[in-house]
This record gives sequence, C-alpha cells and structure tokens, in this order.
Amino acid sequence: MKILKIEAGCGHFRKEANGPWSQIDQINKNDLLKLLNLFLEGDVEMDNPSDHELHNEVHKIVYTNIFEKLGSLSESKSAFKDESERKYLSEINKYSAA
Amino acid sequence: MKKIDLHIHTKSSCQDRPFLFNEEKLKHYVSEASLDCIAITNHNLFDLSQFESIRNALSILVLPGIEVDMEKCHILVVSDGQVLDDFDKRCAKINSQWRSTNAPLSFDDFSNILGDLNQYILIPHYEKDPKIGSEVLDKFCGQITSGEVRSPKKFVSCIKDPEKLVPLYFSDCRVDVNLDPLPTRQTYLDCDDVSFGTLREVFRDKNKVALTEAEGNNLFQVFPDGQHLSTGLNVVLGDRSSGKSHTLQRICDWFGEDNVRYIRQFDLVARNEAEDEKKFKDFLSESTSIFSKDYLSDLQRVVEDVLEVDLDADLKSVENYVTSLLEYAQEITKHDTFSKAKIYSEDAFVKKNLNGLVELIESTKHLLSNVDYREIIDKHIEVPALRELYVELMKNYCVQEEINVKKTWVNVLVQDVKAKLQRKSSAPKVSDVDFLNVLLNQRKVEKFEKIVALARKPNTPLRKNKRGFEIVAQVGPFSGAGELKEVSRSTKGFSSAFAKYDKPYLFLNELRKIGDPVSPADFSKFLVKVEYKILNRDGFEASGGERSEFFLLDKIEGADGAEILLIDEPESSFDNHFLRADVNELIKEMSQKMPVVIVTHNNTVGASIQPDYLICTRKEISGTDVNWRIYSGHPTSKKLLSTEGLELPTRDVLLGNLEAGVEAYEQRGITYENLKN
Repeated sequence: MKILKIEAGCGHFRKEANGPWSQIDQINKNDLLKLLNLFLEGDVEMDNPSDHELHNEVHKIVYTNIFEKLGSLSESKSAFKDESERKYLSEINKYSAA
Repeated sequence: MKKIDLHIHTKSSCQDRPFLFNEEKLKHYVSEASLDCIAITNHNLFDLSQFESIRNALSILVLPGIEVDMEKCHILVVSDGQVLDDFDKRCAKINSQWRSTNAPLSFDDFSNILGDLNQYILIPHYEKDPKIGSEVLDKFCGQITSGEVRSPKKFVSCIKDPEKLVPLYFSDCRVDVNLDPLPTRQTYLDCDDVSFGTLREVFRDKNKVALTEAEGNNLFQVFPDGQHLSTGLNVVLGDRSSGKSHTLQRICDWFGEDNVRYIRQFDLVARNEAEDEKKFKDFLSESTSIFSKDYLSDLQRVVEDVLEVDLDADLKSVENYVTSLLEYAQEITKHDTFSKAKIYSEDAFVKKNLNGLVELIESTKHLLSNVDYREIIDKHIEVPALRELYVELMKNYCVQEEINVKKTWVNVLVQDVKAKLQRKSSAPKVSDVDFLNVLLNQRKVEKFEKIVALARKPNTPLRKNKRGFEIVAQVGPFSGAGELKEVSRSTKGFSSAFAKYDKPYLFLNELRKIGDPVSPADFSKFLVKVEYKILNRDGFEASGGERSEFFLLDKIEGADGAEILLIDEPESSFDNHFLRADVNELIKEMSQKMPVVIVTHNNTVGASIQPDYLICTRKEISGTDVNWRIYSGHPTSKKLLSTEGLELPTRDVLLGNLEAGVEAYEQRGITYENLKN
C-alpha cells in the first residue's frame, strides 16, 4: 500500500489505508501520527523524491523531510513491532485468566 | 531425678543490660529451685576467679562454661572444669577476638581456639533465637546432641520429633540482687548422680530429659512456688473475683507478652455495628493482604511504567515538528547558505532497540545452563547447536551495539553542528521528534487500559474455606468517589478523580494531583476494587455474631506461632452450640501442639472439653487476711492440691463452678428427668 506519493510535481499523503490522498503541505500532527501508524504496521510504499520531481518548493521540503524521517525508522520497524506486541503480555494474560 | 540449669550469667557484657552479680542471690536460687548442677556461661567471656569463688560457695556441681557468638548463633561451651587454666586461656582468646572484631566467630576459628571439641559439652541455641542453622550444625559432625529451647512448647515438640536434638530448657538468667521472681526454667534428668560424664550421656537420650520431676513432659513449672501447668490443655475455674484473670495475666507475664496469644474476655464481641464492620474489614484486608498485593502487583508494575508516559507532551512534540517543518518549508526566502547545508535539517539517527535480542540471548543461556530439564532440552536441541546459536546471537549483539554507539556519536556531532548553523541562520528551525517513542507510549497506554478493564471485570479470584466459613475476594470496579476515599483512609476528595474513572490513563493523572497520602505506589488499589467477604455455611454473608465466631476461631488457629494460648471466658461472647461444636474441637487440636489455658464458668467448655489439667483459683478469707490460692491437679484425681499441700475435692470444684453448685445441679437433673417422663 502506498502512503506517500508524488504526482504532478506535488507531494501527497494518506491518513488511512486506501483512504483519500491529501496534499503534503496540509499535514498536521494527527495526520502525521496516523501516517506513522500506517508505516509501522504494514508493508508500505513511498515515492522516493530523488526519482520524482517536486516542483512546489514547500512540498519538496516537507515531503523530503517526512520521507527521510520515516525511512530512518525502517530498520526499527520489526523491533518496534516485537516490543509493542510483547508489551505487558504477561500482565494481560494474568488478568484475562483471573 | 536431678535438676540442672546450665545457662546462667554472672557477668555483664555488651550484649546484656548492665547488672551486678550477687552471689547470695545465686545461692538462694540454687537452694529454692533445688538445683543439682549449674554452669556459668557468660557472653564471650569466662572469669576464672569469679568462677572459683562461686564453685567454692556452692555445694552442688558447678561447671565452667562460656556462651559464644558463632556463625550467627549462640552456643554454650561447657567444660568439665578439670584443667581450668587451659579453659581460661582459650576463653581469653575468644574474648579478645570478640572485642577486636565485634563479630561472631567462624566455625573454623571456634574449633581452632577451643581445640578438641569432644572435650566439651556443646549446647547451641536450637529452638531459641539466635538459633543454629542446619548447615552449621552439620559442620559439628555429630558432636552436638542437645540444643537449648525457649519454651515448654518447643521442648515437647523436640521430644516428639525423632529428627530433633535432645531439648534442654534453661533459665538464661542474669543473677543480680533483683532476680525476682526466681527462674522456673530448668531441666530434669533421669539419672542417679550428676557429673560431667553423666550429663554427656544423658544429653544423648530424649527419654532421660524432662520438664518435671514426677510428671515427665505433661507438666511444666510456671511459678516459683512450684505451681505447674499442663503442656496440653488447662482449664481455670473459680468464682468471680477469685483471681482467674489475674492468674492468666501472671502466666502471660511469665511467657512474655510477645510469646503469648491472649484472647481476652469480650475481645471479640461486637459492641458497635459501624466499628465492628470496620474492624472486620481491617481484619480481612490484613489477613488477605498477600492475596490483594499479589492480585494487584502486575497492574501496579504497569501503572508505574505508564506514569512515565506523558501523552500530552508527546503530542506537543509532534505538533512542534509539523508546525516548524511547514514554517521552514514556507519561508523559503529566509533560507540562506547556513540553512541550505544538508546537516541543517538533518535528523538524529534512531538507535536500534536491542531489548528483544538481549532477552533472546538470556533465553538461550537458560537453555544451555538449565540442569533440571537437561534431558528434555537435549532431546530436542543439541548442545553444540545451542552453543553456536548463543555465540551468533552474541556476535550479532556486538555488531548492533557497535552501530548504536556510532549512531550516538554521530547524533551528538550532528546536534552540535546543527545548533551552530541554526544560530547563524535566519531560517526557521525544524523541531525534532522521536516518533517511535511517541507511538510506543500510545501503545503502552492502550494496553494499560485494556489491562485495567480486564482486572476490573467482576470476578471472585479467591475462595478459601476456613472452619465452615468461606473467605472470598471479589474484584470489580469502584462505584463511587466515596469508596475511593475509604481506600485512601484520608479526608481527601475523589470526585474529580472519579469523573475520569472510566479513562484509566486520565484517572491516574487525577490521582497524581490528589497527592499525599495517595501515593503512586498504591495507585493500583484505586483502579480496581478488591473486596473481602466471609460467607457462612449457607453461602450468605456472615452476620455480626457469626463474624465474631469466625474471629475467635481465627485467633485460636493463628496461635501457632505463640508459645502458649490463653483464652478468658469465651462463653461471655458465644453460644453453647458454637462452643461445643467448633471451639472445643479446635482448642483440643491446638493443645496437642502447645499449652492452652482457658478460663471458664461454662460446663460446655469446662467439662466437655476434657482438659488435661484443672486449676482452681480461690479467694480465701481468714480473719482479716485475704489469700488468693491456686489448687490444681488432673481432672481424674479426687483432689486438687495447692503448692502448700492444701486440698479441695475435685467434684465440688467442678459442680460449684460449672453447674452453679451441687444443689442446682441435682435440681436441674430432676427437672430434665421430669420433662423426659
């Protein structure tokens, strides 16, 4: 699933899987958290800004920054998944069984 | 039979209260107690000249000894007194080592200083603090055959248990002018004469030691006038104001309050409904607090972790990032050579979390080192494969850790350069944000709320049967702020906190605002209600009277750790049916393990319980003199005797105290007979 795309020289992002696209310069903190969730929870695709031209300077800066930030988390993805799944597992089991 | 006391202090040491030895008092004690042999055993010291003076002053066998601090216990070392100079020198070494180190001797030092241990009688504190541990006992390889005990209960339990050492019961007294009352803790030996050699022989045989001269271990002396008590069940009878409770108090004092379970008259009766309810709840929470702690422990651990999370601050950091990024992007005109440098908007490296790998390495290590389940592990995974796995994981850890260290180094550098560039540039700065941490915190809170919901689900996780009653612990949500206030036992208000009760994370923040005495270490108690109830035989919540019955049974049953159980007139608070059916049975059971003394007027308790020993207190007035006297004896004897040799017919005592007198007893018999006809 694609979560970041470059189309017609502009950057776009998604808030939910298969949801509508929004312009990258409209992104706010809640959108960014949703984007982050999508990134960490599944296999996602993101258009690389080096392969596509971004005409809009603002889009270029915001898109590139977010793209690189998410990219830097790639190798932590599995560790994060492991950790968040294991988090409080024994406690949940204890009170589920009680 | 011979009577001995081998634990007597005549010199004050730093482990004692200060006292001044009085030889006359010692002579008085030896004579009053009719002792045949004593040993002088001071703490880590032996005073030769004082010992010789005592030995010359007494006509009985006086043995030299010392009480040594060794490996966390105290041990009496008694010598035959033949070569006093040698013993004196060895004790001087012990004393000098004690003075220089102020620490107990090791076993090796103990045996090096004292030489051949077979030449002594060694008596460690056994069922008495500070007691000898089994590991230390093993080091003596059978050289110790007897041990000192602190009470008749421990004496009897050592006699009954074939694995235990021969018990010895001594006064451990400090002989000064104030030694009053005189000690009554001594041991009788079944032998014709007392010598060092006889003692060694006798101390190997449990059949040759006893608490009394004529009654073996069925009785023990409790008062200096020679008054005995049974090591089993004693019933105290007597008119009002004849000294029953006073006698009970004297027994309590003799044992020391800390060693006694004393159930006083009316102690357990409900007088005020609200107070009773509170007392009952306190009792239950106290006696079930281990369950409560255990049930809430995991939740509390999660709470403490979640308290570190600040979702508002996390959201703020994301907001700052987005705002600053957009601002940076839009203010292109302000971009200059400084801000155009790549490093200006460079993010810090995210370090890889290696916790999972560390756990994996630990688990592999467990698999490799486990002994208990070696066979099963070997059946499925070969050791060489496990070793290879362990090594590879470790290598991987080293590589990743190295990368993390490098990333840290780069991050510090980038941060430094960024800061310098940002100071020079007029372009806006892009705030940093730790996305992983933000998201992990969110997950933590989600899971915490899930755990709270599970823990609050109404449930009865504890059901414990106790003497016909059932203790149950019920968990569930609190239903109002008042209940939270009750848990806090404070006057603090909980209304605004309770308004957030359904949102546990916000609720925690509200609790934090309340402050002392609502401590974060107890937050789990406010999240989930744990309530205890006692159900009666029919499954209904116990009534006030039933609760008191439960209390009594619990108090009696809880006497296990005490040296003696004293109960003052249980009939004042309970009905006969309960006393006969439950209390009598339990008291009998307890009296198999420890001395029990029960004061009663009630024939259900007094007679049907079948005591081992009867004690009758009497207030006797002759002219202007008032004497409080104690008569005692076995219930099967025709007479009860006082220590001065006075007599009372047992039948009169029983009928007088339990049946309101002979006349009333006979009258009642006629009435019952008539009703039957």
